Amino acid sequence: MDASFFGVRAFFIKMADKNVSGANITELLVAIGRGEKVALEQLYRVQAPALLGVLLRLTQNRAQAEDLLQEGFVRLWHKAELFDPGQGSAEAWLFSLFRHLALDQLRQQGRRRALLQQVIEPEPEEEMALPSQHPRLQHCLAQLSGESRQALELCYRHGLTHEEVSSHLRTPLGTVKSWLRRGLERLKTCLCR
Amino acid sequence: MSVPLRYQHPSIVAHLAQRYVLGVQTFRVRRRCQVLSRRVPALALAVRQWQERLHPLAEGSAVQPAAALWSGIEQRLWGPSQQAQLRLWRSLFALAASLLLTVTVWLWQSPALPPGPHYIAALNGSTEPVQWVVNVTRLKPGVVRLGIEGEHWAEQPMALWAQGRDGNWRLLGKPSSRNREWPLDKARWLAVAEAERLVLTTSVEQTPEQSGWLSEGPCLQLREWL
Repeated sequence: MDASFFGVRAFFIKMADKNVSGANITELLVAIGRGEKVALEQLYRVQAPALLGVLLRLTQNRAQAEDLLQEGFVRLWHKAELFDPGQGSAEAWLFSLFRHLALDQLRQQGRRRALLQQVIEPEPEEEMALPSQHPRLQHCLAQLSGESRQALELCYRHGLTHEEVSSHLRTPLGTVKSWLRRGLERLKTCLCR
Repeated sequence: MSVPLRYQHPSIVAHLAQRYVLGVQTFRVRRRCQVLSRRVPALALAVRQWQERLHPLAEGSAVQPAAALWSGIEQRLWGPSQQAQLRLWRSLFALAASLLLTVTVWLWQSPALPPGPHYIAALNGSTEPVQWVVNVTRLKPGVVRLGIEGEHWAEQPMALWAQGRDGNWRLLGKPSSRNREWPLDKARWLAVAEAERLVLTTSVEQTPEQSGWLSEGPCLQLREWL
C-alpha cells in the first residue's frame, strides 16, 4: 500500500475522533461513491450503532438486525454513487436506505403477526421518545392528536403498513389513513411555520 | 418516456411522497415511485423534504454491533471469493473481447481473401494417381493467374500445355520448383477455358504428341468465369 492510502486513512480516522457531523457524513458518502474503502469503514464506525438501533426496533430480532446491517453496508458500497450531496441530508438518505431494506425483508417474510405482538402498545397520549436535539419536531408532534401520533409511530418507527396499523389498533383502515394524513399535514404546517 | 400528467399534480405528489417515506408502499409500488422521482423533480423534492422532516423520528438508542460484523462486510465486498469472481469476470471479458476482435478481423479480411479457382486440373502420371494440381483463377477482369502444385519437381525444364476441343495445343507456361504461379494473357486463359485437358511435358519445343508427356488430366470448370 502506498503513502497516499495511509494519508487518506489517517484523515478519516481523524474525522472519527472529531465526532463526525452531518457534513462529514456527506463527504464520506461521496468518498464511498468514488470507491474509497476506508470511507466505508469510517462511516461504519460512526453510523453502525445508530443504524443497528433502528433496525433492531424494526425487526425486534438482534440476529436479523445485524444481518440487515451487513447487507445494508454492502448495498451502500454499490449505491453510494447515487447519492447527490446537493439534494438533501446525507443522514436522512442513509437511514432511508437501511429502513427500506428492513421493511422489504419484513414484508417478504410476512412475519408481521409475531412482530405486532412484540410492539409495545403505546398509550395514546404518550409522547414519542425523541432525542433532545430535535425540540422543534417534538413540539410539533405534541400538537398532533394522540391517534395521529400513535399511527405515525407505528408506521414510521416500527415499519407497519396501513393495514397492520388498522388491525393492531382495531380501527377501520380509512380512519387510520385519515389520522396519518391529517397528522402529516399538521406536522408539515407546524415545521414550516 | 413521458410521465403521465397526474404525477404533476401537487396533491398526488404529496400523497406519494408521504407514503414512500412512511414506508407503507409495497416493494413494487416503491420501486415505481423511485423511478418516478427521477423524472418528476417535484416528487423527488417532496420525498427529500419528508425524509428530512421524519428522519429524527427514526433515531433511537444506539446499539453496538458485534465485533465480527465489519469483517463480514469486508469479506463480502473484498474477500477472496469476490476477488475470484472478479478474476473470472475479467477472464470472461478478455475472452469475449478476443472473440469479438477475431470475428471483426475475419469479417474485415474476408472480402480481400482470394476467391477459389475457376478451373482445376488434376494431372495423373502413369504410375501415381495424382502428381500435379493446376488451378486457374480470374482475380479481376483481365487478370488471370495460373498456379501449379506438386511434390516431385524434376531438375529438367517442364512445360504445361492445354489441348483444345479442336485438338490444337497451346503452351501455358514453364513450371518449375521456383515458378509455381504466373499470370496468363488473354490467349492463354481462353485456351484454358476451352481446354479438354492439360498436359505436363519435358519439352517446350515440341508438342506433347511429339515429345510424350509426364502427366495429364481433364480441365474442369468450378465456377462461372465472369
